[in-house]
Amino acid sequence: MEQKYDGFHGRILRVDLSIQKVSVEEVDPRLFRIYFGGGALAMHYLLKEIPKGIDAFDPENRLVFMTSPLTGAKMSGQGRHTAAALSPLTGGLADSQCGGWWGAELKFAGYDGIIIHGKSKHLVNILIQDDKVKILDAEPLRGKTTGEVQEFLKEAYPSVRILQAGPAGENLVRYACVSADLKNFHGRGGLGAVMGSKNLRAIMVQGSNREIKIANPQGLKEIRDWFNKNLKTHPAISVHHELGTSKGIVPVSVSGLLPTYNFQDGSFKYAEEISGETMKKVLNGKTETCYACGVSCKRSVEGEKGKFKVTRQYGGPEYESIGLLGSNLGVNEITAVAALNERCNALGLDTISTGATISWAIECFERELLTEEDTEGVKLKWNDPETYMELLNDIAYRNGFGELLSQGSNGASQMTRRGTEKYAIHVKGQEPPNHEPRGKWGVALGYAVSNTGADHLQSAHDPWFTQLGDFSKECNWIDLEDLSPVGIIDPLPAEDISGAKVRLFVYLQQIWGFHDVLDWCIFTSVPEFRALSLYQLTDIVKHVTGWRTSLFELMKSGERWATLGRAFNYKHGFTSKDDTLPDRFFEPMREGTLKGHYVDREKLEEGIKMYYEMMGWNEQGKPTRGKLEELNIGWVWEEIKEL
Amino acid sequence: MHVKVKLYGTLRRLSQKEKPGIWEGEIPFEMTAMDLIYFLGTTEKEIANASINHIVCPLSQSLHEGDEIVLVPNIGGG
Repeated sequence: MEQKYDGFHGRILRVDLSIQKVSVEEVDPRLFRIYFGGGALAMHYLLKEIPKGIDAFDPENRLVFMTSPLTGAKMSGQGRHTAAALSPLTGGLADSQCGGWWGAELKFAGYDGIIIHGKSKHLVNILIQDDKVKILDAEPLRGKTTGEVQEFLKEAYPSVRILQAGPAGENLVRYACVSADLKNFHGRGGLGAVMGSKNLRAIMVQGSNREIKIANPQGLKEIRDWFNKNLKTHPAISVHHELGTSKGIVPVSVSGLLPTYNFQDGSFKYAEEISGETMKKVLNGKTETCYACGVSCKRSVEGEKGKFKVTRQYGGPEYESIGLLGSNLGVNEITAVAALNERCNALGLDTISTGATISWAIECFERELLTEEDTEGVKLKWNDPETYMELLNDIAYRNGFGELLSQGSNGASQMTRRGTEKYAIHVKGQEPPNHEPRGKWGVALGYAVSNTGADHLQSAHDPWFTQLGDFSKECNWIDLEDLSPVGIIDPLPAEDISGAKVRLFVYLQQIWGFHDVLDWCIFTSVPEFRALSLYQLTDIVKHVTGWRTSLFELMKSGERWATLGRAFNYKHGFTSKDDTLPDRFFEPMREGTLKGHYVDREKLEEGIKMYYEMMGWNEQGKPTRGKLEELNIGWVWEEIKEL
Repeated sequence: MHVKVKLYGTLRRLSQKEKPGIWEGEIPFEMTAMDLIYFLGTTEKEIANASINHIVCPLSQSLHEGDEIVLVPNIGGG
């Protein structure tokens, strides 16, 4: 099928699993112009189609996979796609971007997205090969690991790219993830369990039209050439290429911001032992990449130590996984951490929520709030990876104590009570990732107001904006000047929640938001890395789509994304009372470089109030009619006006 | 004076070729951690924290024979 528009097809695949019906929907190109794609376009459908008051496992829940006009273009940073649904972990929005190759392949097959609803009577796979779309029996694959399923499907269809839920998704573990070709993940929000609830194991895609038609190939080539030439000498990207996200473990620990022992401490004595540097040496760390990306930051490791062995089949652990399966559990050896990561990937478990749920249980056991009666004889302690490895299986297959842990730390603590709730570290039911907010209050604000529960990707992190930049130095990539096109010019302390900090957060959230609606990777651009500028990102959108767009419009798309998410959550029962942090973050940190630091509760509450005001939301955090109209999504008012 | 410096993140570019992440050698005069940062070829703007012999310290702290210094940059999220 010939591509109809520059950058996109204007075609979405609809699959109703209840009646096994597949149809193709032509999409008004205006929707791409308004939303761009990704999370925002996905939320357009979620808000319209998911009835208020349903459970995430109801067949009426929608599971949307979406790309953007940039997906599949030949340029570093575009190899991502979105998955979104009503989350079984939070009861609100799940909106997750995943790297790899699957999104580009979907575009090559002639679709911008897929909307899945209903529930199959038995386990199925979806096979998409251009215009041929089939729903295939997958019952023989039930219970098998993601690696086994990948091998089985690849044997039958060698050229497909595969998204799949693991056994954890089949068994409705509330934080089950979705795996893309085993090495990339929609980690958060329980999207794998939504797949499982629909009796959908995998979506295979193969496309034959491997060139995305774009408006100005020469313009894009010039930016691509500039980027490829400069990335080799760019110190931030070159070290990211060499060590990946795991390069951050030691710096973050030294700075007192590494979650340790269920977020009790911020520095880990054994950070060096679980660092990216050690992983490279001990596990022969190599690099892999996403589609058409020169940054090439993915990990691939192999090795063996004691009872733990890892292979390259599942890639290797990223920074977040190392923290939540390492320091936050007290695990001090990288092979054990990598093996736990690999097992999570094989079972389809989100490494962050899995690690944090186990760390909740350990702390409760230490404090004698959970007993061996609760754990069915498991003696829980820190730095016990062999026990954790067994627990992973029990969680995924919901055996024994794993049944309780399969609910996530919040769900498990609500079922247990007896004071265990205090040690469940979560926001809106989702556990925080590997970033201690007590030393960076913009991240604290981001955790609190995030529509998906605690999420470190609401905005860039405060320490980057504590100093004035200096363009006279070739190698200085902590520059505020990179953000000056949107009027951010003043440095601010990391532990600050003044009006100026809230303004910084709001603008950064818009920048992070437009990365998500474009399904664009933050590891190529400002402000995560000083590589592609905000102007270059704007030019990329222009070159691909031919639209006369601007940085203003990109910023608005980020604001629209945040407001759509807020409206979705409001429709599903969330209010301002849900925008808060667990008590632990309001209490002094126990140990580490930032020992004694805490988030000031009153100041955070004042900051949240100010955030609502800046966003054009009322005191309950509900978007106002005027703001919705201003964002060109006035129709959303009908979804929330009675609430 | 002989010191060992462990370099992380973007600072890794300042390491010796044969020792990724490490700069080890003689420094020509008495230095503070701040002096060392300039000696290695960057500025304090790139430094989030420094530690000497595993204790986080201010950049004004003096170095001594045999010290192991860790220099870390700010790291964002991703």
